[in-house]
Amino acid sequence: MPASSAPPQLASPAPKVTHHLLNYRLRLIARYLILTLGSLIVIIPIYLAIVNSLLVPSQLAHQPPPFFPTNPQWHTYPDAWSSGHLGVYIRNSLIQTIIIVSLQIVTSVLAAFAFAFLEFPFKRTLFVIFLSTLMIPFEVTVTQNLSTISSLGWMNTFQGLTVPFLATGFGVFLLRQAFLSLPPELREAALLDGYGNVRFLTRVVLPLSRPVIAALAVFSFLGSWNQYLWPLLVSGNDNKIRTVQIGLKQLAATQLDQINVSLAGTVIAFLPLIILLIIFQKQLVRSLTAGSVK
Amino acid sequence: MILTPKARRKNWGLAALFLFPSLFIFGVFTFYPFFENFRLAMFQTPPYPGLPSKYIGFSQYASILSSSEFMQSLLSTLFFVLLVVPTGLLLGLALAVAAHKALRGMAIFRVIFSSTVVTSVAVGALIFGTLMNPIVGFLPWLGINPNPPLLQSPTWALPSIAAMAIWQFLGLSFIVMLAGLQSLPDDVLEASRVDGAGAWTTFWRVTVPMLSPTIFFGLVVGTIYAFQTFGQIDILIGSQNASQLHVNVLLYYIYQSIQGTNPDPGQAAVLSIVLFVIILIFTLLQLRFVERRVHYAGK
Amino acid sequence: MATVSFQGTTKRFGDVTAVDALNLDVEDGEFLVLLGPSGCGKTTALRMVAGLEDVSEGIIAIDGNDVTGLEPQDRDVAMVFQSYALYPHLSVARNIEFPLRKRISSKEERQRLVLDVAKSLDLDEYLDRKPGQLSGGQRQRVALARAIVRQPAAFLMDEPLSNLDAKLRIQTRAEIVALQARLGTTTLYVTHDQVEAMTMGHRIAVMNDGILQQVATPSALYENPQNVFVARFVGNPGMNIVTGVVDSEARSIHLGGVDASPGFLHDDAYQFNGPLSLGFRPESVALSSTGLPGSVSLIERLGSEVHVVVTIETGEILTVRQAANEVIPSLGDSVHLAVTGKVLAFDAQTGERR
Repeated sequence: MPASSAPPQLASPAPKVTHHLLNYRLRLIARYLILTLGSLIVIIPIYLAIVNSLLVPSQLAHQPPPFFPTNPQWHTYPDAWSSGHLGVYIRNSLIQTIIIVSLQIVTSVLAAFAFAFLEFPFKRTLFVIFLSTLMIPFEVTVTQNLSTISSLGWMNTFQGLTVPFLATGFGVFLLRQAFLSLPPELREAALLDGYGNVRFLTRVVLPLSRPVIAALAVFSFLGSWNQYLWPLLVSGNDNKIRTVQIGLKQLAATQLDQINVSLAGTVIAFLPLIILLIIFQKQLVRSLTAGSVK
Repeated sequence: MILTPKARRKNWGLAALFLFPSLFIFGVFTFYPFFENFRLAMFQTPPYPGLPSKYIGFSQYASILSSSEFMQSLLSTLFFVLLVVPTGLLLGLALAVAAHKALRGMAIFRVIFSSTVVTSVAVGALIFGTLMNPIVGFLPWLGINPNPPLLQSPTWALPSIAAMAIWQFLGLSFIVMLAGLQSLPDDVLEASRVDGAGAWTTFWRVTVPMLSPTIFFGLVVGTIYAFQTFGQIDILIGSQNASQLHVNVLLYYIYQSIQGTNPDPGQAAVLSIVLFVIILIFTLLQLRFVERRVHYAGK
Repeated sequence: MATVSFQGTTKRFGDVTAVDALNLDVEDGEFLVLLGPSGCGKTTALRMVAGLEDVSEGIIAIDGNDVTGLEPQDRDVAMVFQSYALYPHLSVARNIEFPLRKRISSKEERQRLVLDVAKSLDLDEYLDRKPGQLSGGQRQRVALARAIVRQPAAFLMDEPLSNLDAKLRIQTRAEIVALQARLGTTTLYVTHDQVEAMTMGHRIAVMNDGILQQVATPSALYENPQNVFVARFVGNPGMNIVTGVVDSEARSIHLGGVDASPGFLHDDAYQFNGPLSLGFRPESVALSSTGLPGSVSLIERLGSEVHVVVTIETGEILTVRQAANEVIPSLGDSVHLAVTGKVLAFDAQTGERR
């Protein structure tokens, strides 16, 4: 601090204190200003979507568009639900997601347990092979997978939607790390107590790994619920199997004049996830940042 | 953990049993299609469906990679990635720094900033489609009416899609950066302040270097995310206009090769390999040039 | 009830020999302490008995049966871990019950056993709690209860007291001794703390660098250490060792070339000839007007007694144990030391007892 630059007056210490206080207040204001601006960036698009979902068609064309729905049209929501088949699509998405999430957890737990606790030949090589799947984006394999699924006769089926995603290198990696961080004495105590691998897994490892399994579940839920390219290719032509993401595209494409209904559909698809985010924030953060801190 | 020889043998069977489900899925749906790409890339798709495909070897790479359509797609992709990743990460970092301190109302701000992480591609596209709509969107509300509208302009279509991708990436970027900030040891930051460094110096000289593993992680994740952008283009632009609006990024180009009236698996295979190689190069470059300067604390 | 014996038992980790041809018999009902500095191989030896480590060479026998190739669960031993290894997601009752589930099918019988053991260790109030809600001492007792409940042939304890604070450690020490005496179960107990070893063990096996140094009762170990390592390691502070040349004929001891015989009053010191390491306990040496000259380099006041650390002219450091009411010199004072008590002679090269 350049205290020496203070004028040599009979000044009380008061000015310096206010100076610091001012500085602190200014910084606080700047901080909240940044936060508010950032919030606006995030919220304005969502807000506009909600507003537009509640407008009557005549208001939609009005210039400039209203920034507040004076006469909210709540019926757009049931309209989107029924005319856009959103109910069916959400059900399909739920089935698809539940299959993927639960079986991903099963395959990851088994493989991670093997890598963390079992001894077998080529363990390192196999682990590297598992990790290398993280380097191959699904998009790169999408062409061939499509012909595999179609030759299996799985187009427009839940098998076709889910089976390619039933294993995850990320999940194996995440769970292996968590299993390895359990105290090794627990494994040894269980061995002395007469508990073999399977019982050790079910009675000790699984109950103790609940938080990280929850993290994986949230991560994989988000991933499969929000899938777009694959469901578009596998289920795009069939109403009965179409997922909500593809349904939204149809809603947007077929009802251009009814932007309010299509946005109501968007909000219906979006709100549950926001609620999920608020509930499972901790688990989500944990899984999303699993690789960031060494 | 060392077991007696007997127990170790017993483990082999169990390990095989436990690894099999994952290995099977990976084999069929990751490794087989991945390597199949290299085979397919050697065959030219016949001009009419039903005819046998013809082996032409590596010349298929040459003809596709030298086409102007491919160059356009590659340039669009790179431009897109360069727009999205740095902007998204910087914005995420700025908001994370602002929301890092435990002040009043931070919990709400954190939920808001994280929220775009749960938006799906379709949700994001529809929300942004509205925002950029020439009649009901944000611009007319501000009294700006670009002609042609943003999403129909060859100049603005790609940056508009990028803006949407940044918006969607912001949630992930914020979460990663905030977690990184919160994992920093307070004592080092405090030591810097006690040593007489101001907030600004401390941030650039201490916080950012110590945050470098997180930033590096964000770069890799963001790059992969940006290369995967597909749905927004599919919903907001569509197949017919993607090429002329310069938004046919590589993934969309692949999609166009396998969809439509005359799918071209040979071309899709070549493009898939190119996409893989580019992502690999980006990741390795980041590993080489960024991680060298990355400071890993401890261990 | 069982004996445990190591017969030429060896453990190698790559090039490192952690336990080198260990021969040791633990008698039925005995409380045997494996004592040594960290890394001496004592924990590895214990883990080989448990079946948690492979044996590279030699065998382990329990009650005369070779168990070297058996699974841990088939050896009928119970282990108490340093970290207790309690299952954090299970209640105290379920933790204690855990080893019984594979052995006893009747649920009532299991619960009766758990309750009995819990009562005997004053744990019956805490049966519904999780380990995370217990104090360190209570957790330790749960770990003991889990070991006791299945009535194993032997207890294996790996530094079970090292996570407790000093006061609780002394109390628990006595409890474990009483418990073992009551149950009469053969116990192998690993520690690096020689006070723990001295107060708890029927016999103590001292190990260093993977090699068994000496097996003896606590008092025999203190009085008659077989080599310099044991002499220095056992006792607090350890034995004083000076190296010099003894001539028994001339009744002279030269330390660093200077005659130091006025400092050695006891006849023991002159039994052997040649270059020797002479050892004597801190209570066998006193400040005196004549003897070994040196200066006071440290004074440690422990309340009832005082340790005066003196650096003698050869640079060797000796400790004198004094009662607190004696005259205590000041730091830096020039003093003389006289060895009044028993002196042990060790080979100057090998460190072995002469």
